[in-house]
Amino acid sequence: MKRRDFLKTAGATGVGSFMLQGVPVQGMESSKLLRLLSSEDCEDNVLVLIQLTGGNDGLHTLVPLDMYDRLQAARPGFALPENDLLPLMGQDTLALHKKMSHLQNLYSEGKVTFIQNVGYPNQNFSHFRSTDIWLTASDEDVILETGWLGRSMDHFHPDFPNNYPTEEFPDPIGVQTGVFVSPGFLGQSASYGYAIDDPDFFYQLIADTDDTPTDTPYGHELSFIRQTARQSNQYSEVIRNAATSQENLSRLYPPEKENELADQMKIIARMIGGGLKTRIYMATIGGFDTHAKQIEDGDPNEGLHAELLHKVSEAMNAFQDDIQRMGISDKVLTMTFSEFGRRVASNGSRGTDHGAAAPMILMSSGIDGQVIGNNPVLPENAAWDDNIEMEIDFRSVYATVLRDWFCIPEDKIREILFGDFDLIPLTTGVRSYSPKLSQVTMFPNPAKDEVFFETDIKALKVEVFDVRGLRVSKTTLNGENPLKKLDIQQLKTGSYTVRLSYAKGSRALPLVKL
Amino acid sequence: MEHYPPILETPEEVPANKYANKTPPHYGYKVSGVEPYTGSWDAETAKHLLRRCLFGFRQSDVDYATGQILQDTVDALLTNHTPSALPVNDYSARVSDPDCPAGEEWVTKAFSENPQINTERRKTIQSWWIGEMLDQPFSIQEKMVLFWHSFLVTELRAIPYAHFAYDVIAMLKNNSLGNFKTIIRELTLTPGMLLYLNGYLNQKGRPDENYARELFELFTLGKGEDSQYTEDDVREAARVLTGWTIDTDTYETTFIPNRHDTEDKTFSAFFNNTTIKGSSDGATELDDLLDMIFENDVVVSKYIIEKLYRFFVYYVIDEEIEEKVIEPLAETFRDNNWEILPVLQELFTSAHFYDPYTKGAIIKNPMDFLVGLYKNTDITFGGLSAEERSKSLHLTNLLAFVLQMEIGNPPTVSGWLAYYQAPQYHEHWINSVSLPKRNQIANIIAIAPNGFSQQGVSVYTNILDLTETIPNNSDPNAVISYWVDMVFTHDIGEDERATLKGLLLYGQAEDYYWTIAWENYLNDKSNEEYRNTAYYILLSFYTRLFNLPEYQLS
Repeated sequence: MKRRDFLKTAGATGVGSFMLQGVPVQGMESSKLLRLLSSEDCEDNVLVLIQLTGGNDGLHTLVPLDMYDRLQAARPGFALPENDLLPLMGQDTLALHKKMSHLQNLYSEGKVTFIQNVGYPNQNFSHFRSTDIWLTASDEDVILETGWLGRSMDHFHPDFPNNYPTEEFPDPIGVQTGVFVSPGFLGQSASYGYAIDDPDFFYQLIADTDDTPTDTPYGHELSFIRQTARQSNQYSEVIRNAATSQENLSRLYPPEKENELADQMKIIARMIGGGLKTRIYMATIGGFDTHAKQIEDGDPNEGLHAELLHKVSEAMNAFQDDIQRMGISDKVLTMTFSEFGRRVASNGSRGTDHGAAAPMILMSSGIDGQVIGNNPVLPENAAWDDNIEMEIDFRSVYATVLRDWFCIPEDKIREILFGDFDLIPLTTGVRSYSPKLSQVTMFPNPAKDEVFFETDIKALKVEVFDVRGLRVSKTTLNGENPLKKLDIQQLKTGSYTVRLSYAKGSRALPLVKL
Repeated sequence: MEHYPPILETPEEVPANKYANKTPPHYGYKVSGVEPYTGSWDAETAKHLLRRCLFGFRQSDVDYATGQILQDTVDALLTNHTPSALPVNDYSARVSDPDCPAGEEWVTKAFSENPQINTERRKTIQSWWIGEMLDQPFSIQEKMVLFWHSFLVTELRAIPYAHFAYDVIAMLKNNSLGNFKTIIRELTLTPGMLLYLNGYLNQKGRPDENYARELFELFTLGKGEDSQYTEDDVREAARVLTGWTIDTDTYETTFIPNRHDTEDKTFSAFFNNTTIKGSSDGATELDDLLDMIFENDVVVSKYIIEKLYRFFVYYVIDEEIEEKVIEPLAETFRDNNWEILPVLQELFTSAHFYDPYTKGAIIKNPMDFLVGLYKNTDITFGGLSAEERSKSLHLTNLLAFVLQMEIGNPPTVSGWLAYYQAPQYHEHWINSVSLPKRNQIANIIAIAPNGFSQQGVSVYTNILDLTETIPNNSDPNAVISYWVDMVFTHDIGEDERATLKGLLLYGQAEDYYWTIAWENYLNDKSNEEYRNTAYYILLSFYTRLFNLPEYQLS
């Protein structure tokens, strides 16, 4: 008997509550937890990624109200008016941009999770390097030639693309809406990404011979084009079938061409609803590189960035509504990402320059909506080069999604992401977030020569980041002694962020060096 | 046939997976360096050069090239030409332009403050640009303009004044075979760039580092491992560049001293700890900044030469190619004080450029595909008024947009993925969306008299007339050989020849089926039945010809 069937039976025979792996379980049948613990269901889970190209201003997306005065000081005439921000239910110190009312509602319904201060150590401020880092899931100083999605799919499809599509996998493994396929889909042998811009369009390509010797660049490129043609012929038919069998059911989508993201999400909803076994979809929306005119002159609630956030919120909401009506929303997780956030202070062009950490937005009926991570800590008198510190490594989010959404074993995830990353509580009860860390105390602060940490963590990893997000020191403090000392004599005077981590989580604290 | 250089006995290693994007092979052949090419100079060799340096070519170009020695052909290619025309008002049906009558060139007329007129004018820049590619004489100039545009990016749509947008492109055109450092200086101060990357708002106190960052990262130094500038350097460069803006009365770049940061700017060890003396003289500080950047001459030259190599030869650069090709060309670039011409001279006369393994290895970008297709199918837009011609070329721009290469409007400041995104590079041009669209475009163009049409303008080729220009066109084998020679980089193999011939013989076995059908038409063009027979045979033939995957390669 499959575990799921056992549990269903258990529920039906009136076992009111019991413990499953130490977690109290009640009224199991429709519980999200149950679904998560029964790995068979993972096979149907779908991940939809939304890339916000250009670097999204996190501080104008999810605003830390406890830092509002500092934000206002850092962005004179630029910060969003406090009274217009949209409160998040149960969150006293966080609010959303005025244009994201749809996401505000979805949060109230428990379908949205915000993960704060996501980034990576040693922030790279180049668009294309940082995009590569996010797509390949590499360290800042490492160049990888495969994408994190590609490597994840290699786990399920080690022989791809030889003989694909197969009877078992007749559909594209990954789908990109639009014309360019993201490098994130690159696997060990080929890209898993299949581009769709019009699912109803079908064109028979010439693909009847493939005897090209591939030991020359000419042969290689020709073979690549033929492979594309062959796959297109095969996949475009299943895509058309999916499109034919599923219409969009939501009325919340704006008219065509008004919101480029919504147009893409409509296609994705039809593909999932139409029964494609595709696991990963990616949509993109550009324009977030708001160096200038991010806000309208005299009205911070309007402007380029406000329009974009409105589009994101509107598109995600309509998509969620659509897949709920199709009855498939439990197995779809939607997640935004952007190559970086933006600087704390605004510049003189009514804009913001390239920054560091920023929030990610996750949406699904299958998760318990919440806020993960602490509010960003802003410096008191932000200089023009001050940045938001990374608190959660983006690969922690990836690792959690791979484990909780795709049920990939942790040792495999380690291979896919080239390292061990702390898991975060995407779904309640799976693993708690940095439990011991919340009890760590750090003193004195401000400090001159040394700081102390009081904790019972045996091996405490301590990283110090300067205001730009660059790591200036790292060390591991070992030992049984609950009082651990960090020497900071070499640091220049200024404000820093200390990131504490150990096997089970991480936490960031502000530190001022005198 | 003799190979140059000789084929090694067997490929050293057959790739484990032929679809691998990571390390596409180029082995099995000896890799030559930049020593002069000494192999034979024949039509095959010449076509390789023409495919890479022009947007498509005609038989007359091949004849011209093979009628002289390689060196003379390269000299002819490396010559600038004067634009045949300027963008014209083709938009009078939509908006009335008080400064420029319909059909006339607006660049020489007054600036407009009307956003709609500027939008329309900007579109005509694109039409004009494509027309320049189509009309280019025997010159590499338009390929070089696209090369510079591919990484010295501006987006026309982000430049409100059409005149400024035109100026950026005109600047690249004027300098296309000129001095790279000059290009960078002019680019920095051209109003279009000041608008595009916000330089015009960059002032002391709260500098905007947008341009400074891209100046380092995208325009000169790159992000390679040898490029070790720091975040502080970006900020200091932004401070150097404060004060430049646009005078809205004269529509010219101007320097406002009291918006300029007059403190000293200091740079990292990568720049030899240079201090740029603060002053009220923005131009001198800019010169100091550029001198400082170009002092890192190895980094700059290698960054540019690698781009040039990927654009004109192939995208895989391994250690051997780095050593034999990139480094010598980079040295030439440095030794000639950033003049590009000697580099191009060396590249296009080098043995490496003619190594057989580089032939046919480039996937055509959409412009190469479209303009090349026009050349192949003899679409010239001739006999039209300037206004009609501009409208027709605008239609081409719409097709280019569908194929994801709207000229003048790269998707981001990084340019098109095909020119920077490792490891796939130009494979980004081909996927399940773009490949069917390329084929569809090739098909529709062959359908007279509509082809592509919009607002009463259409683009199509007359395939009957086209076929008539082929020598010995009554012989199906001659027709096929003509096209294989003309449009493919390699022979297509017996099976595919047989398939194409089957289309010309409409399924019959003997060559005379085509001969009779074709000669019937030639002898009596007014006979509708004869005409239709020939037309539909040719339609299926050309549809397959231009849909073959081989057609995507250059």
